[in-house]
Parts: sequence; structure tokens; C-alpha cells
Amino acid sequence: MSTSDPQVAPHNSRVLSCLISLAIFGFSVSAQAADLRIALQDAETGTPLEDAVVEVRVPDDMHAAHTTLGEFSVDQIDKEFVANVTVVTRGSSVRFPNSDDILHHVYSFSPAKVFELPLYGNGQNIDYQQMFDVAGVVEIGCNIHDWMLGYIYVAQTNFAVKTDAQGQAVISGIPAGAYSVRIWHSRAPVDSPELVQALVFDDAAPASLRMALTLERDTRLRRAPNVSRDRYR
Amino acid sequence: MSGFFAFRSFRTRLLVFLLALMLPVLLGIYGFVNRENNAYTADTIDSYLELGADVFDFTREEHKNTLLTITSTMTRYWGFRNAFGTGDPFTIIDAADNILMRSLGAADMMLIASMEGEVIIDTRMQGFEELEGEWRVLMDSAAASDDGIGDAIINVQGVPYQITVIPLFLPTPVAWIFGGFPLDNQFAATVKQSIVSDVSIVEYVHDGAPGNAAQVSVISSTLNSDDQQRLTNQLQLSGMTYTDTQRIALTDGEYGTLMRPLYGQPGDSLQIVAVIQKSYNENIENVQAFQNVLLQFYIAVIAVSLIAVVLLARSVTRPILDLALRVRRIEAGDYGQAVQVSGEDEIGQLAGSVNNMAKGLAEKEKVRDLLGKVVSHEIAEELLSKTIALGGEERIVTVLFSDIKGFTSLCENMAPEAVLTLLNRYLSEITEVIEANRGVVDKYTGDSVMALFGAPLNRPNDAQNAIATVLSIQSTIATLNATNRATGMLEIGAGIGVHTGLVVAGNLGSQNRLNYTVIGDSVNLSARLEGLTRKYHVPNIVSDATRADAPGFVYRELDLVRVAGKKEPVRIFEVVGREGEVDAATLSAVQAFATMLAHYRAQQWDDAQRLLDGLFSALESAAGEVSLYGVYAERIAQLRQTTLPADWDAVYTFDKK
Repeated sequence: MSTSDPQVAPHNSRVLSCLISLAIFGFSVSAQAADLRIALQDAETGTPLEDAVVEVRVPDDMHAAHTTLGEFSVDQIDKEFVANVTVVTRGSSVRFPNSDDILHHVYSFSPAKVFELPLYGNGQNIDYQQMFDVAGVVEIGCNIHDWMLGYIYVAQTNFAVKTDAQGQAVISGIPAGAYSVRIWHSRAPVDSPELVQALVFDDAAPASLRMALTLERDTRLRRAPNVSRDRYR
Repeated sequence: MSGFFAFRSFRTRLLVFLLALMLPVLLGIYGFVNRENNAYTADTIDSYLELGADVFDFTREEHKNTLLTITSTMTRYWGFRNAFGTGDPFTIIDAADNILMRSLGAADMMLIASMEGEVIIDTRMQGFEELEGEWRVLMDSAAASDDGIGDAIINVQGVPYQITVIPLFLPTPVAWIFGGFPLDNQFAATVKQSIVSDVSIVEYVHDGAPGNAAQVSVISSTLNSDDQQRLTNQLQLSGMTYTDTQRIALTDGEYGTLMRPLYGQPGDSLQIVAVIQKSYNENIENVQAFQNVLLQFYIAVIAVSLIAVVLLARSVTRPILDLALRVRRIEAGDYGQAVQVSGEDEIGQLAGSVNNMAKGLAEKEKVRDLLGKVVSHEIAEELLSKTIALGGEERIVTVLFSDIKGFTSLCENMAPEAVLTLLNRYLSEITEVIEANRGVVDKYTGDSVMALFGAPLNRPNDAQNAIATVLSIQSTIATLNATNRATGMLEIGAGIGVHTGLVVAGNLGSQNRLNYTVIGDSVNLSARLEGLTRKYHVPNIVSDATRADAPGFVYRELDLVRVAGKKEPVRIFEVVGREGEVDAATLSAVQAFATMLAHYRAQQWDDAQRLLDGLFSALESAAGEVSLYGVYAERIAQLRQTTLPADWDAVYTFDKK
């Protein structure tokens, strides 16, 4: 159970959580835990699809058992949100440090969480944590910099993972059973049927999810040309 | 052509020619310049029109961009984002109205719809909940575009609106923001201000059926309602492209008309076009001013040309008139003053030639005159008319010789000059008589005159003219004698000989010095006869040949003579007078003499003598005849005593010349 992830801090916490979970449930649990190996690619170009999120939806009564809260942070470096996509379990909190030397105004009007962090600079709002208690996708933006766009995927349970640069990811410890698997990508049309898959998990062999997603055009706003200035007049 | 230009005056001809040449050329130039001017003016207006239409396009584009700027910028400010985030439509529409106010009139309406096309707010309150028709088409086209931006002309409550659409970013597109401004009269007026052309927004509806007419209606315009009506009547949309200029007649003249598309393509059932119009009359003052200048210039040119032509004509006509006058005078025989014409040109040369000609003619006439004086005029003409050549021609000519008896004794005591003067007087009188009777004086030899009747020209009555001359000479001399008697001068007598016969008439002499005369036996005979007048004591002797050709006169036969050098005997006569003019006594004397002559020839001497005696006695008054009778009396006396041969022919022979 490994996840390759460039961000060290949040995933360290996650790994820790997993280990703790394993320790609690012991090997008896591992006999009923299944893996889901994920490999996604862009259907149009055939390239591996990064920053896609796959979530295994387990029944509500199983949520409590598989919810591990964590603390995450989404940084603002060089006028971009880093990481662009962050997967958190419902109830987790996210900090929004500002590593730039200019002020940012973080906001979101997503139904999953409407919040704002009015203009603040480096070193401010260090202790501020925004809790995401509703499952869904929260789109965050900056009021000053129109192109800054980040996503926080609030998963119902721990069984959600983000694909890496190779388009791969693994979800471990899934209880055996048949579940609905949801796939999300920022450019995947929300109501596309291929984004909802039904999979059966058993511990005999890991389940595999290999898909090529049909994505919409990238309509993100372009970075302003003078974004990296060191003077103001 | 030459008939048309055959004016009496060279000046008129030149003037007409000049005008006939200049006027078409000037008119042609005028027409050409006018046409080019009008075309240029129309082109200028057309290019302004194109410019205006381009400005219209640009202005509309600018307005569109302004709309987009407004909707893009304004909806990103935090206040609006927050308002939208609340989801409360009343708050949102207030925020939208706020933006419209802040746009300072650039945006007139705003409509916000969800990404799926549900209308959230509409400042125009059109009342639909879902985007339909053109709104949806616009939305779809924006969704399909790279940047989510689109624009269209959409009818909003009867007025065509320029609508733009841009997504609302929160931070991702969460809604469509539609903004718009109306293409109404105010818009048209605004555009007209910048392009100084009339602007109309025209809607064109055609149901597609080929036979049906299209409906053309003006939505907004800077034209008044009259002109709007004219516009809808004349505007051609089908088949026109947006680069074609139409000419449309409005109230104050023709307008160049260009269209720019606003909605729809040529061929669609619904088209909305912007119509830009500019009057061609704008430049008309320039054109008219130019025309006036041109006309004035033409008038000046024509006036100057006319004056120049008149002067030119005069410089040509005047010397020509002078020359013509001179030639007319020459024609009339006046060789007088030479024409003064300066210059080396053709007219000067002509004048020189005329002068030389006049000189030559004058000289010729002098020579002819002189020649006419030296020889008679007829001989002069004869000589002048033919090539001078030695030789002659045979003709029948009556030759007359006349001399004055007793001239020498008349001049005995006179000085030589006086003699010449007197001689000339007599000769003049005799010459006059000869020429009056159409004779030609051949030569003067001392006091003797030789005259020709029948050379150089012959006439049918040459012999009669000669006989008439004889009588005239005699009466002239009688007149002269009467004058002389009064002054105590001696009287003279005429001696005339006339004969008609063949002569050779022509030029006698050498090539360089010749004499027109007649030669031949007849000439000699005539001269002899003249000499014989002394012998017979008669004033004239006429040969039988002449008598035969000259009836109408009374002749007295004188003799039958043989002269030296001529073998044949010739009967000779004396002319006594014209028939009817001879008195009875003379007539009877003539008759008696004729009878006497018959006796004489019959050698009836006594009868002859008896008649002679009778003639002598009747004779006291007339002079000269005495001696004629005496001659015969003497002869008879002599012949009585002579033994005559048997063939005696009564011919008297003169041996001496």
C-alpha cells in the first residue's frame, strides 16, 4: 500500500493513519481487505491522467469505520494553489498558508463549502483551518488572481485516492463487496456515465480499474503574462 | 465641305473654321472633364462611404468590446461575486443594475443564466425562464468557443440589441453573463456623429418563395420618415454584396449607399443590415465652382482666339485685297502703282510676282502699242498672235497705192520740219480713212501710202472697202484743198491705184528684222495703176478684178492696157462714185465715154471723135477729165494716120515703168 505523492506532509499523515488502522484491525481484517489498482488515461491523447480522483462508495453504515480525519494544507506558491487537487476525508481540516510575497484572497462558492479567507499575506492565517464537513468537490479560487484554481475533493470515507503522474493509484483495505466506484476529474463532464462504475471487491485478487476518460477541453483561465514581476513601477 | 466654306470673306471663313474646330474640341474637353469630375466626385463620396462603413463596423466592434469589458470586469469584483454567491435573485439583479449604471450607458441590459440556460436574472424582464431561440444559439456558440465568448444581434422587445456573452468565473464558469446595448436611433445618431453619414438599421424579411417580395423595414435611422420610406422602397438586398454601392434617391438628392451585415447572411430569410448613406450633393458646390471656372476660361479662350483670328485674317486679307485691287486695275489696263507688301511669306512673294507681272504686262502693252503704231494694229495683232517666222501665205488681197500729186511743189518754199508736219497731217488723214474702211496700212514710202484690204485678215467685202477708201481719200483731199485755198496754199491731187489678186502675205526680211507685207504680181500691178493715174489724168485707176468684186459703185472704163512685166492686158476703170450718189450729168458722161470707147476699139474714129467733142463741151465745170478726153483725142489723131494690123486689140502698151 503505497502511494507515490510529491507532497510529503499531508501524505505522511495519511500513511500514519493507514498504519494505525492496520494495527487496530490486525491481520484478521487484512484477510477481508481488497485493493483497487487504478490506471487512468486521457482517452483523446492516450497519456496517463494525473490528478483524477477515484472514490469507492461504501454504504453509510460503514462510513464511521473507515473515516480517518487528517490535517491538510493547500499552499499558495507563485500565485498557484499547491497541490492543485487535494483529497481529504470528510471532517478533515485544511490550512491555506500563503507562501507568496503578495496577498491572496481565497474563496469558494461551492455548495460543499462556501468560505473565504480575505486578503492575507505570508505568515498570516497560519493557524486557520477550514473544516470540510460535507462530501463533494470544493472549487477554490483567489479573488485577486483569476486563474488561481484549486480543488479539494472531500471524500465520504478513506477510500478515495488521487492518481499520480503515471495516472496510477491504489486504494487498499477495501472490504469485500460490491460497491459503486466514482471517478472525478476537473475536466470530466459531471454527468458522464463512465464516471460511475460498479466493482466487486474480494480479497482473492486486487480489483483493477483501467479507464480512458473522455475529457472536455481545458477552459481554465490563462495566467496573466506579467505574473512574475519583481517591480511595481 | 468646300462648298460650305465658300464664304465671301476670308475672315469669315477663318472664323467659321476656327469655331467649327474649336467648339467641338472645347465641348469635348468640357464634357470629358465634367464626366471625370463627376466620376471623381462620386468616387470620393464612395470612398468616404466605405470609410464610414468601416468606421461603423469598427464602432460596433468597439461597443461590443466595451460590453465584454464591462461584463467581464464588473462581474469579477467581489461585491458582485458575493451577491451572486448568495443565490438571491433580487440581490443579483440589483448588483446587475449597479453594473449597468457604472457602465455609463455602454451597457443597457444584462441577463444572467446558468450554464444550462436557466435564466437567473434579466434586467429587461423579458419573462422567459429558459434560454430559447437566439439566446440559446448564442449560448451554445459561446460554449463551443475557446474563450467562452460570443456575440449576436438579438431582438429584445422589438429592438435589435447587440448582445455579448461571457462566463461568470467563480472561479470556474458557473453562469453566463449576457450584456447588450440597443441599435436604436440614438446609436445611429452616435455613429453618424463620427462618420458624418446617415445611418439606418434595416430589417429584411423574405419568406423564400421566389415570387414574393421581401419586407423591408427601418428599425432605427438618422433619416426623417420621408427618407426612410424612400430607403425601404429603393434598397436592394437580394443579390447585393456588402461591397456594392447603390445609388438611392432621397429628398435632397442621390445618396451613395453601402450596407454592413448585422445579422444573417445574404440569402437568409431574415437579415438585419446597417445602411450607411452619404449624399453625392455634398461635393456639388465644388463641382459647380469648377464648372464655372472652366466656362469662364473657355469664354476667355474663345474671345482671345476670335481676336487672334481676326488679326490673323486681317494680316492675310489686307495685302490680298490690295493685290486684288491692283490686279483689277491691271485688268482695266492701269499698270500704275506697285503693291507694297512686306514680308518674305507667300503673300509677299505673290505681291512681288504681281508687281513683276504688271511691269511685264505694261511693257508688253507699250510694245504692242508701239508695234501697232509702227505697223497697223491689225498687223501688230497678227504678228503677236503667231510665232514670228519668215514666210507667208497666199491669199487674195486688194492692194491700194495712194500718193499725193503736187506735194513737192507744195513744199518748195517750206522748211524741212514744216514739210514733215504737213506730210504727217496728210498721211494721218489718209491713214484714218484707210483704217476706217477696215484697211491696213502696209507702209509709207515718202508721201505714198500702201494699204491692204484682206491681209492679215480677210473679209468678204475687202474690195468694196478698198473702193470706198478711194472715194474717201478723194473727198478728204478735196476738203484739204478747200482749206489750202483759203490760206493761199497750193492744191494737191490724189493718185490711187487699186488691184485685187493673189499675193503672198507674210514676214519679209531677216529673223531679227522683218517686215509684214505682201508681194506678188498683184502688188506690182496696183503700183503701176497708181502711176498710170498721171497718164490718164484721173484721180484713181481700179483694175477689172477689183471692179468685179466691188459692186455698188459707178465705174468708167478707161482702157485696156498692158504694163511692163505683165503679159496679159488689163482692163482699167475709174471709180466715179457710189451708185445713187452720182449725178445725172456725170452718169451720162460716163455712158458717153463708154460708147466712145466702143467706137475707138472698132476703129470708128469719127464716131469716137464726135462723142469726145460732145464730152468736151459738156465739161466746163469738172477738172481733170479734160486731159482724159484729150488723151484719147490725141490717140485717135495719131491712130488715123497709122496703118493698124489686122489683129489690133486696142491694147495700149506702157513700156516704161
